[in-house]
Amino acid sequence: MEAGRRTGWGAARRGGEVQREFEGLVVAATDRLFRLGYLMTFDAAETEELVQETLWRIARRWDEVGVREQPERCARRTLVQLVLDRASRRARRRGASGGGSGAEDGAPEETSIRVLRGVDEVAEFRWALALLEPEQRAAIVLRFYEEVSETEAAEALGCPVGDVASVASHATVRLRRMLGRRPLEGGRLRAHSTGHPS
Amino acid sequence: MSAGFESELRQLLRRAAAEAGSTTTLCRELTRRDFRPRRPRRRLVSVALPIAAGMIAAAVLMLAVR
Repeated sequence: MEAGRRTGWGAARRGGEVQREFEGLVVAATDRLFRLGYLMTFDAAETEELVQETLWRIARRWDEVGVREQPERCARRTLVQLVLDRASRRARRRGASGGGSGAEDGAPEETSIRVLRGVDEVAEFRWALALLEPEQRAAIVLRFYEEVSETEAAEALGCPVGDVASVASHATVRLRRMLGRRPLEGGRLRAHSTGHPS
Repeated sequence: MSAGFESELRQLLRRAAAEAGSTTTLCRELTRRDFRPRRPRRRLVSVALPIAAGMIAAAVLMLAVR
């Protein structure tokens, strides 16, 4: 890839090995990272920016990443943390300016989403997902879209493993309610820990 | 129980992700991006030199006042 050729830092060190490894990550992970980021932000432009920032951070400590852990796993964690940091900065700004989102203000979520019911299922779902707290949204996306284990999800979210199931479960209950599905009669939702969506 | 909603959730997530569109433009942008780590020399120019210049200016000013 051209990006690797331009950098030259890999080639200078280990005969292009590092360069090839990083190129491999960019080729293999960009699409996946973009979709993961998009499901957490629903803003394609912002997601592109976040994916670039993620890759930039990985590139800066590539040697460390390559030795210590799987680069894709590290990229996922970095991206999720970037999304959550940005969301918390926005929330702080909103708090400082006295504003707030509809969900935080206790707006009737179901009413606003019901407008789309039967019209556009995906738009309805996207709206419901967007109304979740950033951590809840990230947990749902990690567990049910990326289908990572609770350990990996906890690592990406920066929280204890035990919290992942609880956050995902609360988020699912909220989603069910917002989407007008019947509430669960006990039991906890479980996500498979293996495999990836094609 | 929950299995139905779980699989619905997975399906909806995939459909929502598919709406993100193509990443061709992003990939093209990434190929243009220079991921080279910053060289320390740049930091020297942007941080150390202004500090040094400031210190020299302060010293000259002190001498001038005396």
